[in-house]
Amino acid sequence: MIRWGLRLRVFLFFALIVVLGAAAFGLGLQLVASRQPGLEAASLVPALLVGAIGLAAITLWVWFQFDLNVARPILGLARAIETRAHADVAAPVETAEARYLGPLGAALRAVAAKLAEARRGRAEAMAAAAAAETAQKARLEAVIQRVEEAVIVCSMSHHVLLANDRAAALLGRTGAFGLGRPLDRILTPAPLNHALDRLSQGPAGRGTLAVCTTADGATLLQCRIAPIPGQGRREPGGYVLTVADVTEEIEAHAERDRLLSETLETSRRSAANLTALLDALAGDPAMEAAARAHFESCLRDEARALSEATRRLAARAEAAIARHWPMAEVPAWDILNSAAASMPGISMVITEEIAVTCDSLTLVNLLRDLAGRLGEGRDLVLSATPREP
Amino acid sequence: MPKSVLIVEDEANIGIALEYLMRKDGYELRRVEDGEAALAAVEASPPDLILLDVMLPSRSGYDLCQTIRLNPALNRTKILLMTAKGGRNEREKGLALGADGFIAKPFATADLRAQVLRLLGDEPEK
Repeated sequence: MIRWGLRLRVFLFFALIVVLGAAAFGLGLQLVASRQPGLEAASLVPALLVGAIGLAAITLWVWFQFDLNVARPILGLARAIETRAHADVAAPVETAEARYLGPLGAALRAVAAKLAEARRGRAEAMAAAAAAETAQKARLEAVIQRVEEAVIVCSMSHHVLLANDRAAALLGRTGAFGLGRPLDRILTPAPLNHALDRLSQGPAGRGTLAVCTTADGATLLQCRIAPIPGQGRREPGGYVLTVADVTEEIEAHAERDRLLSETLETSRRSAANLTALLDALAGDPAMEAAARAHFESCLRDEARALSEATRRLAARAEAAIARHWPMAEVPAWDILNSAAASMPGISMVITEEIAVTCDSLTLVNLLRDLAGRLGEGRDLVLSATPREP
Repeated sequence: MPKSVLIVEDEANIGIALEYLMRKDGYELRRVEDGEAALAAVEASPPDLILLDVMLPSRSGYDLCQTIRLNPALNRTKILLMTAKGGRNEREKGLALGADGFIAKPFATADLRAQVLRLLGDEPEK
């Protein structure tokens, strides 16, 4: 079906008026000629032509005015509204040309203004939501930066959304860690996915533990995984990973297990050897002197071997015990302050800021104990000064 | 005819002591120090009893025990396992692989003698 434009249809409408008007005028003249004897119809043709041309001229002038003041302004307003429907145009609708359209121009102007206002409202709401999200993210960043552990916030597709400096330091050495990057390419994904499956099947909001290794297998990590509630959905929107490097701890445990096992085995073996030798000696008082001397020599060898094994195991035990003891870098002020807190009459002297790598709890207890023994009836001064190298 | 005992033990001190004690008890004794030599000795002349340490060079006592038990020609040979890893798992593993007895180090030689007597049928089972 042919879709004609508004102006063409209006023009055709006026052209139809001209044609039908001229035809009616011709019929009228013919009727007059038929009732007037002696009046020939041909003599009326000039009158018909003058009338038709006059009608056409008047109609053309009316069409022109109609086209100028009605059809074109209607098309202009339609374009303006359509433009505002599809694009964010802030300028008001121009209605000067539509002054002859009555209230239509004003009504469309009001519609356009309302549309622009709704758009502004929506944009402001979106900007406010984005600002709130940015502020929330900044607050969350500030919070996780203060956390002692390495903390990573991930989407359910394992992409890193946030991470604190400790996490960056811990996983940064893999060379693939960063915001927006997939975490499952840095850590072994299977334990991570298994933990997330457990979370999805367990009670909402409950965290779980997983042990992962870095993709290169160099670092063993203990991860506590907690879900982040999704927006109005049962599925979590992401998860928070608290990561601790337990490589050293696990290795220390393994070394202690090995040490215990070797100590037990060495003791059993040596005790068995000594028992058998002693039983052989004690069970045969009439043993030949040469055989007795040989057994006694074996006993001495066994005792020496046991002593040597004990020394070796003791050295390893000492290293293993020292390795396991938890130590942290603590300001000397905190240690002395804690020690002095429960003891009246103790003053403190700190010559400069000193950080001490130690088991602070044991040190505080030691200082309290010493102060308790020494400080009866006299004032004590606790001082911390750096030792000259 | 005296019963024959093969001691498979790589620790020389307990090896010579056990050898002396067993010989004194009247057994025909041989002693080797690793798994391969033990298998060769068993195949050359099957003993009545093998006193078999678990931790051996070249071939473990468990491996040797299993190999011997897979050979029907050696099914009359008794195997008494000895180990310094004295856990329940070790004992169950040894017995599952076909050992007839298990003794954890350290042991009193009287206990070892009692086990040997029991396995060689010289004393009724307790």
